Amino acid sequence: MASARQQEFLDLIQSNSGIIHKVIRLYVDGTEDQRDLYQEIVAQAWGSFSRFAGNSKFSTWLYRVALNTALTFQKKAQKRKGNRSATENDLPTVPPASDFETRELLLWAIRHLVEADRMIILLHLEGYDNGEISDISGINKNHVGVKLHRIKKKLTALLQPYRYGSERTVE
Amino acid sequence: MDLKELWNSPDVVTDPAPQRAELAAMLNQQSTGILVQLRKKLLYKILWGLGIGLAALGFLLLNPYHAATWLVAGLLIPMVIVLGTKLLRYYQRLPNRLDMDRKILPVMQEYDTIVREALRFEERIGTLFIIPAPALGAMVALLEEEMTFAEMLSNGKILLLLIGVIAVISPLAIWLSKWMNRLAFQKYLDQLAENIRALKDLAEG
Repeated sequence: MASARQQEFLDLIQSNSGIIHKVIRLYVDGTEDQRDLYQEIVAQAWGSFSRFAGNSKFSTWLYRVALNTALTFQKKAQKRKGNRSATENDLPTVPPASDFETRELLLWAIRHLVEADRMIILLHLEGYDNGEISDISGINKNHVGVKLHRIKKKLTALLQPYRYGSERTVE
Repeated sequence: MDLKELWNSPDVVTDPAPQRAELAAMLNQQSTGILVQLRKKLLYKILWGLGIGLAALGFLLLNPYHAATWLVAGLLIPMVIVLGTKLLRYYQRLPNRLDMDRKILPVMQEYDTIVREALRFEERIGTLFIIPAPALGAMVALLEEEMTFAEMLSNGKILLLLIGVIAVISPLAIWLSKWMNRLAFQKYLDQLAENIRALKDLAEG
């Protein structure tokens, strides 16, 4: 029979499931890898849950666990190929036209960033300020701002052909 | 339109919400993360070595009066003791419990350093034992032909044969052991190194 603590954890995971989905869609391709990473994040979160004291919001804590787990996740595709993690060469060079008006376009562009950069931009897009991003990622707060600026420039360059006029930049 | 606006625009893919029973089943599943895999591979390496040591010991106990068994066991058992003890120490230094709610970079660096050190140590010490191994193998074969050590070592042709065996087989064996390490560890170490580099780059601006 599940303990009260386990029930509480499952409730929290169910109500914050979107966080895990956002992370896995930024870090892995394919249903199998996505399912595996989802399971891995849930298991790791449960393993660390005893230390979650409620000092921060559960969503913030879950982001940290999910991103750390994604950074150390072994993808099935890599297991088969025995090569390095996904690089931009593995991604389609042009996004599907049907994605131009959707979040999928942005996901496509973010997937071209190195894995550590994806973490910063995801937290920024989810509304965390630089201080909170620093807390979650363990990166110096001043560097977060600099890094975000560079990441946005990269994303602008990637998205420009599909969404922006040559004069515009993204914020 | 800015990035946040695009981020909040409609999603094409709807993410299925897992059922409670499915979630409960995920709680205690074994991790497949690269850190756990590296620790597991190092343990397999130690157990594999232990198996070789026990096989050598068994060989010795089954044929205690045969010079060949002393030759084989005399090479393998010290190798297993030296390598096994040291690798076990490396293994014990790897954090057993991974706290994914803490900073991951120091943990990743610790794993990277310890596993690379362990493999370097194993390759160096292994090489010391691998070099004479083919010659000992050849000597064992000659012992079967009822030649004594003194006869072997005083025979120029046999000495030449033993040197030849060392020259040809030893580099192959060394290459094979390195190749096996690459096969078992490299993909994990590569991903680890890549993410450490990216996280350090982030941390240092």
